[in-house]
This record gives sequence, C-alpha cells and structure tokens, in this order.
Amino acid sequence: MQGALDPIVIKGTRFGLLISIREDADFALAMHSLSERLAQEAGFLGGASVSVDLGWRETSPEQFGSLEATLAATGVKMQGVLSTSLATRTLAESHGYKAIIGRLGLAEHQGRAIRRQAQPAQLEETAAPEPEPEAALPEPEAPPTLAPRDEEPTLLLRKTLRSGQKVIFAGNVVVMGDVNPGAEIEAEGDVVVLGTLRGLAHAGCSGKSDASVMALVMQPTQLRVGEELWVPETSAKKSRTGPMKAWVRQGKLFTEAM
Amino acid sequence: MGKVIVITSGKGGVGKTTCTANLGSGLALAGKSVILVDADIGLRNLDLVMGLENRIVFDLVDVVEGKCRSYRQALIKDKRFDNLFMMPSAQSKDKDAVKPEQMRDLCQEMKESFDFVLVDCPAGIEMGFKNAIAGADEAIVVTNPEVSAVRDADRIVGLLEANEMSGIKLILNRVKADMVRRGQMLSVQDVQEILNLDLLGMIPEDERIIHASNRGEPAVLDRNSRAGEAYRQVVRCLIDPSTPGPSLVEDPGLMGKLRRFFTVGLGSQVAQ
Repeated sequence: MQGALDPIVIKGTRFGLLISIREDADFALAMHSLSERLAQEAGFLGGASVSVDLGWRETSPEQFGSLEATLAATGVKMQGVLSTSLATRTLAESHGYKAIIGRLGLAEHQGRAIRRQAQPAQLEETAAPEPEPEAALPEPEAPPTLAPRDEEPTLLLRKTLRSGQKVIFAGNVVVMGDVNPGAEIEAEGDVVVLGTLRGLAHAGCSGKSDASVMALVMQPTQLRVGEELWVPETSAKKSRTGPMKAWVRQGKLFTEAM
Repeated sequence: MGKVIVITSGKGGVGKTTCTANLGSGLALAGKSVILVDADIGLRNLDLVMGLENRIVFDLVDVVEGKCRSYRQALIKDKRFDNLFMMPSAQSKDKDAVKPEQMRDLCQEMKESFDFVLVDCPAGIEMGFKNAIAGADEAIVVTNPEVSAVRDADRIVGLLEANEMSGIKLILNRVKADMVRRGQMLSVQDVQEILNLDLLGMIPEDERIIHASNRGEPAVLDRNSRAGEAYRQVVRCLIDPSTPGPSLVEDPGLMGKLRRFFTVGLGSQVAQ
C-alpha cells in the first residue's frame, strides 16, 4: 500500500526494479522510509539490482553517500541513476554508476493513472459488438505460441488477493489463490490465477498485446490485455467453469476454454 | 491473561454494536469477566444498546489523556451482571483523539485482569479502525449476506491480514433463511466463497433484536429470541473453540410446528 505522499515508490520495470525518490520529499526522511521498506521486503529484494530515480533533485555528496549506505545495508545493488539534474548525474558517474537523463518513476505512475481514467470510453467499442466472444470464433486460429519469456521476471503470490489490494508488476504474475472482486492485478506480462479470478486483471499493461490471462475459474469483473478490454455479461457470470484463457486476436479480446 | 477481540465490518449498519453487546452479555452470563470497549469516538452507541447511557462520567478519551486515575474509573458496571463492564467512547471528540499506541497499551492493561475485552470498531478503514485493531489479539468480522457488505468485509480482512492479525472469524448477521432458500439472498456458501474464514456464527434476522436494542436489553438474554439463541451458540464457541460449528436457528413456522408435533407423536408411538 503506497500512500499518495509516500516519499518512496518501488516498482518493477522492464529494466529491473526502480526506486523512485520523490523530488519534493525531505531526503533524510526518504532514506528512513527507504530503509524501512527494504527491510520489510528484504526477502523479495535481497541481492537485487536496482536503479534509482532521483528526479530533478540536485543531490549533495552527503545525500548520495547516505543513499549508497542505505542500499548497501540491505544488500541491494545500485545499477544506475536516473535524473534530470546534471549535478546529480555527474556525482553518480564520479561514484562509478551509470547515469541516464530521465525522470521516470513517479511521472509514469501519474501517466498510468490518467490512461486508466480515459479507458472506460473504450468499453462500448470493444465489449458491445462482441456479445458472445466464446461462441463467435469463426475459424479456430492457432493460439499465439507460448514463446519462452525468460527475460521477464515472474512474481509468485501464495495468497488470496482481497478487495482493495492491488499488485503492479513488470513481468508475469502467478497467484496461488483467488483474486476477489475489488482486487486488481496489473502485469506487463501474463497473469495466471490458480484459483478463481473474480477481480480485475490486466495483462500486458505496458501495451503488449500478445500477453494473456489464465484462470482456473474465470469470473472476472473485467479483463484487459494490452489496450483491449472485456466485460463479461452478468448473466453468463457463472455459466462456464473450468480453466479459461483470455488473449487478443485480430485486435479483440477473446476468452476460451483451455 | 485474557483475550482482546475486535468486532469489525468495514460497512456500517451490519450489526457490530449489537453483536458486541450480545456477545459481551452472553460471555458474562457464562461467568466470564468482560469489558466492552466502544472505540467509535464521536458516534457512541454501545452505551445505548446496553442501556447505560445515563451512568457515563469518564470516557475512553479521558482515560488516554490521563484525566482519570486508572481506566477502571471510567468503567461502567452493567445493570444485570457484576462481571460485565463497559468503557464508553467520547461523544464530542473525533477519531484522532486517540492514537493506536495508546489503544494498544490500554488493551494490554485491560486483558491482564479480564477474561475478554471486546472492542466495538467503528465503520470505515481510517483512523478509528486502526485504533480499534491496534490492541486486538483476534478479530471477528461481522457481515450481512449482501454483496456490498461482503465486499467491505473482504477489504477489512485484507487489511487485518496486512496487520498480521491471526484468528479472523466470521459472523454472518441478519440471515433470512426463507430468502436464501428462494435464491434471493446470498447463502453462507456464497459468502464463504469470497471470504473463506472460520464461521463463528449465523444470526437470523429477528425483529426482537431491534426492540431489544431500543430498550437497552441485549437479545442474548431473551430465551424466546432466535437471534438470542444464535448468539448463545457463538458464546459457547468463543469460550470453547472445540464446540461444533454454527447452525442456523430457523423460525419453524406453523407448518414446521405441526410437522414437529406429528413426528414427535409418531416417534412416541413407535417407542410404545
């Protein structure tokens, strides 16, 4: 659970884990919050390589030192620094890190929130002209081959996701439990639910349309793959049991029995 | 050393306060020493349901602010039982008047000298909720067989789990057996499919509960109340967890009574 004023945002991206440090937050406070968060998630983050997004902040040598110390204390390795401040980048390079011009973490979070608000407009377009997506398959086309996605990390959750809980991950997500209504999964790769999917799942959330959602029991409130969206008919909610898969074919999202 | 149990729901109006009053009275009836803590600061109700409103002198906020010598000074003894007490909440303050650490310390102190401390949690997931669960060892989630109540209960369970609460149990309140039978109301199975918790009790919808609450007389003490009987079952489960699980206390109705009369009659003939 990350509050709006949380000085730290830890997020998985295509390039690995990214720690964003809010530019307007007090640095010492942010370091304190960072060490707390790292300690909490030590099992998950231990030994990981991370990039740090410092935004437009002009980091002083003391601040940079304390960042290095905080990360080193939990065994997390800093790969590189993302910043729009030349002073910060020069400082990072002088410490032997890769420095990239940019400011990704929090800005991208905001961008995603805006995209989500814009989405309901697509609802009629994609859902309405496709009343029976399961039955309306004209010529069974070979489903997309399951290409090995070794390059993508996978998050394994051994619990039931309950209402209000949200998982955002830059890779595949596997849930060994249910996803209850009101819970959300947003994965850049595939979503697999070894239980009942009743909440919302978004596979390929960064726009990858060859991702898929699979569940042993498929009763979602809504499914999204890439940019496509599918809303099940309320009457058909419990009609079909057994494992189902949702994937995009010819620009439309289909569900079919596996 | 006793146990602190928080009674919570997320959604308002599902029967947390009624449940707290009834379980507290039931436990006291069974001879346990009990404190009921009203953690709903600013919207205090438990005193009304217990019929103790006019005896309040000090309240929860006075206790944490150190205005009384000890928390015992704020406790109100119940009218009916010598081993049942209530800690009223303040009416004129708000939830921020108490911090979770203060609640934790207070609950710790209380459970040292009482068998059960039942905390009546306010609706919502904000400060009041955080305060109420701070000192709790276990939680009872109360919900109704309605989608909105179940959804909120699920959210609450997620938050309780995030706070590493163990022993989360479920009370399904206001069950209308005939509506369930007609498929117009969620059944226990429907609710459990989502929540998947230990079921502590099923309380049938009972008009007597409303009457009892308005009079300040918990229904658990009413021998003729079906809800009261269901609460007595829950109390037995709370005292001895090995007690067999809950069954729905149904209104037999006229036909049921006739059927029972005849089966009993037949049974006795066979015996002869």
